[in-house]
Amino acid sequence: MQKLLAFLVFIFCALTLYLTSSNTGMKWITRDRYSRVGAFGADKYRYGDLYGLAYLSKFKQVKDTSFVTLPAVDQKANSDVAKLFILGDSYLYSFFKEDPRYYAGVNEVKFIRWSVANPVQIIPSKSKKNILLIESVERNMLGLLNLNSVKARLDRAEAINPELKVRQKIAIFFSEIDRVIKETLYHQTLESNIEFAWFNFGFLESLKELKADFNLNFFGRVDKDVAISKDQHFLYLAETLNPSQVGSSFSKISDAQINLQVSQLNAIQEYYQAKGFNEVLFSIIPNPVSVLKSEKKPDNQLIQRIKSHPNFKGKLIDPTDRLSKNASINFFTSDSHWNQRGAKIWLDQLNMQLRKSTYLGN
Amino acid sequence: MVFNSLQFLVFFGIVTSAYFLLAHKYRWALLLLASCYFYMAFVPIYLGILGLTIVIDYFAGIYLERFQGGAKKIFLACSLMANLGVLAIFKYYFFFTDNFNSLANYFSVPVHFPVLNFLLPIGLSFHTFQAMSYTIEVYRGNQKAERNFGIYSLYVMFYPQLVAGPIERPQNLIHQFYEKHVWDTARVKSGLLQMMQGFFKKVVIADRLAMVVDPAYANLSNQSSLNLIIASIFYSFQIYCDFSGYSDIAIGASKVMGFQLMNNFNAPYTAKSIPDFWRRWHISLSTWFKDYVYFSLGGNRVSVPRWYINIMFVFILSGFWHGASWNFVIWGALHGIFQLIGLTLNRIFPSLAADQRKSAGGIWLYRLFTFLLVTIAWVFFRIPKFGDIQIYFRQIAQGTFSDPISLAFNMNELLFSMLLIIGLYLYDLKRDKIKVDSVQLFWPIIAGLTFLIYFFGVFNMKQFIYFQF
Repeated sequence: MQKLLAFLVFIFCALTLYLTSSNTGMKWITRDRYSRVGAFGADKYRYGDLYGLAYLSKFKQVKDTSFVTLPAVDQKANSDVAKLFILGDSYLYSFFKEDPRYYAGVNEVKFIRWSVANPVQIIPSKSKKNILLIESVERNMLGLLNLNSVKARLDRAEAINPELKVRQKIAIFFSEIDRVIKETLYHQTLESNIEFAWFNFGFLESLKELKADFNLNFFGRVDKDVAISKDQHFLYLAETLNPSQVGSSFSKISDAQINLQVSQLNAIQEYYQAKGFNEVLFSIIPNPVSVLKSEKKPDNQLIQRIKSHPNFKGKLIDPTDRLSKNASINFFTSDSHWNQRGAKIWLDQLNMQLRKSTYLGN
Repeated sequence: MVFNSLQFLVFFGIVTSAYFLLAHKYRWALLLLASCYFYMAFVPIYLGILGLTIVIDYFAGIYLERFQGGAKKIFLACSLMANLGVLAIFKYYFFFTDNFNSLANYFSVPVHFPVLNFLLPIGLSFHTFQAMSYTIEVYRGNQKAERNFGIYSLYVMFYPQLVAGPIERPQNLIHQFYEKHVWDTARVKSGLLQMMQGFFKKVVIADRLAMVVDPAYANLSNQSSLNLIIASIFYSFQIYCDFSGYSDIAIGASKVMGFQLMNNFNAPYTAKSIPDFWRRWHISLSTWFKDYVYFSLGGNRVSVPRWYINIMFVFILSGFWHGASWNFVIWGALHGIFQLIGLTLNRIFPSLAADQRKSAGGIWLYRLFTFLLVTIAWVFFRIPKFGDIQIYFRQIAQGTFSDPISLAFNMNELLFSMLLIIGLYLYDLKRDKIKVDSVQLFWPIIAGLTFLIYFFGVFNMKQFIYFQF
C-alpha cells in the first residue's frame, strides 16, 4: 500500500516536473486549459493580466484577445517599398501579427521582442528602404532605451564583444557554464509553470477571489504587483504608481536624466543610420495611469519632456494625446495594456509617420 | 531552491517517493544527486567550491585516523585552513581588504589591496561548520573516518539542512545514512506536520511581518518612534519564524525519510535570561561554538577574567560568523556584554535572582527583560550601516507616537499580526503541555493548516533570512 502511494506520488510529481520544464509541455497544458471553459478551464489571463495577479472579483471582465483588424487597403495604394524592423514589447506583439499589411508602405516585417533570450543580428535589406522602430512602454524605457541595451538585442556581433580583458573572459566563461547548467536543469519559468499547471482551474477561481476580496476589504491591500486606481475603475501595475520606482509615472526624473535619455536616443539613431537604416523611429507607449489621469496628481511628463527636448533629433511616435481623448475606452480595466482600440490609435499614428518615411504621401 | 516554492514541493515529492521505492543500497546516491540538484538551483558553479572542500576533508579524515602526533595535527590544520580559507575568500575577503584599505588611506600608507566582492555561495557558513565538525571529531577520536566518499559528501550536502542548517555533527548523521529506514506512517505524518508548521511560520507570520519591517527599516528617517518600536518587535518575531520555520521544514522533510536532525529552536522568546535564550536559539550553532571554541579556550574552568574573555570572544566570533560586517560583530558583542553583566549580577546578588525567578511575576519580568535585550540587539543585526543605526535611535528618542496606520498595514492587519504573535508565543509556552495526539488528528490538522496557509499566507517566495549566511 505504501509502495503504491509512493509510486503514485512519484509519477504525479515527475510528470509535473517533466511537463512544466519543457516549452512543449507548457504549450500543451496552456492550449488544453484555455480551450476549456468552466471548472477545468484556465482563468489566469482570460480576464486580463492584472486580474490574473490580483483576482479581485469586481475586476473580472472577459478580455478581448483578438488581434487588431487590418487597416483599410487604401493605405497601401502605392508600391510597397520598405522593410520594417520592430524591437518592441507586448503592447505590439499581443495586438499585431507580424504582418506587413498593418504598416503603410511596408512589405516585410521583422519583429524582435525585448525579452529575446539571445541577440539577433539584424541586416538591412539592400533592395528596400529599411526602417527600424524601437518601442518601449514608459515604465521600462529608462532601462531599455539606451544603445547598449538595443545592441544587446539587435547586434549579436557587438553583443559578443571580442575586446575583453582576460578576467572578463574568465567571468563570462563561468557565467556561461552556469547559464547552460541552469537552463538545462531548471526551466526559467518553472515556478510559474507549476503554479499554472496545478492551480489554474476555474473551480479554484472563487477561492482565489475569496482570498483577494478578503485581503482588500479587511486588510486593505491587494497583490503587491497591482494597485487600484483612485477612482476604483482600473487596475494598474503597482510600480507605475509608486513614486519610488523608476517605472512610475510619478517618480522624480531630473533634467539631467532627461538629457542623458535624449543623448541615448540620438546615439541609437546615429548608430543604426550608420548601419544602413534609412530611418529610426522611436515610440514610447505611455503607462495607462499617465493617460487615464485617475490619480488626480501631476505626473513626471516623461514622454513630453523627451519629445520637446531641443537636442532630440529622432522621430517619436507618441500616442498620448490621441489616447487621452475618451481615455477610459482605450484601455482594459484589469490588464496592464491598452485594448484593441488603443492599439489602433497608435497604429494610425505610426502609419502617418510611415507614409512620410516611405514617401507615399498622405 | 527555496523551501517556500512549488518547485520544492515537486522536488520533495519526487525525492521522497523515490527514496522509499528504491532499494536501500541506492538511496544514498539518490539523496546525493538530489542534494546537488537542490543546491545548483541557486548558482550551479558554486557546487565546485563545495566539491573542493569535500575532497580535502574526505582525505583529511582518512589521514587524521591513520596518523598520530604532529602529522595528525598537520592534517587537521590543513583541513581547517582549507575550509576557513574558502570562507575567508568568499565571505570575508571584501570586508578585510575594504577595512584595511580604509585604514591605510586614513594613515596615508600607500598600500592598496585589490577589492574583489565575490558573490557568497549560499549556505557556505553552514556547510563549512558542518565540514569542520567532521574533521575535528575524527581528530578527537569521536568519529571514525568515513571511507565511502559518497556518504561523506552526503553528510555535508544533505539537502534539507545544506543551506541553513541545523549544523549537524557526524556522530548524529553519518550512521543514519547506513540505516535502512522503512516507511513508518506515524513518523511520516509527524514529519509532514512539522513541515506544515514551518510553512505556516514562514509564509503566514514571517513574510507578513516583513511587509511592515522591510519598508520601515528601508526608510528609517521617516518613521515615528512607535512605528520603529513596532517594526523592531515584529522583526524579532519575523527572524524567529523565518529561521525556525526553515528548521522545521528541514527537520520535518528529513523525518519523513527517517532521518533525525537535531533540534534548532526551543521557544527562544520564553527565555528568562540571555544564557537561557542561547540555549534555545539556533541551538546547533551555539552548541557548535560551545563544543569547538568555548571549551577549547578552557570554558569556565579558568580564572574569572579569562572566563569573561572566553565568553566575549565566542560571541564576537558568532556575530562575525553571521556576516562580514561590523554590525554583526556588534550584535555578537552585545550578547556577550549582556551575558557578562548577567553573570556578574548573579555573582553579586545570587539570592535575589533566585528568589525572583520563583515567583510568576518575577518570571514574566525576566522574560520581558530578556526579550527587550534581544530585540535591541536585533536592531544591530538588521541595520548594516552605522549612520542608519544612529538614525534609528534618534528617531526612537524623539518619542513620536503617530498613528501606526502609517505603517504598511491597516489597523486590522496590525491587530491580526499581533494576534498571530501572541498565538505563537502561547503555543511556544505551552506546547510541552499540549496533550493532543497530532498524528491521530493528522488529516484535520493538515486540512486546517493548508487552508490557513493558503488563505493567510503571503506568497512572494521571499528568501529565508539565514540564506545569506
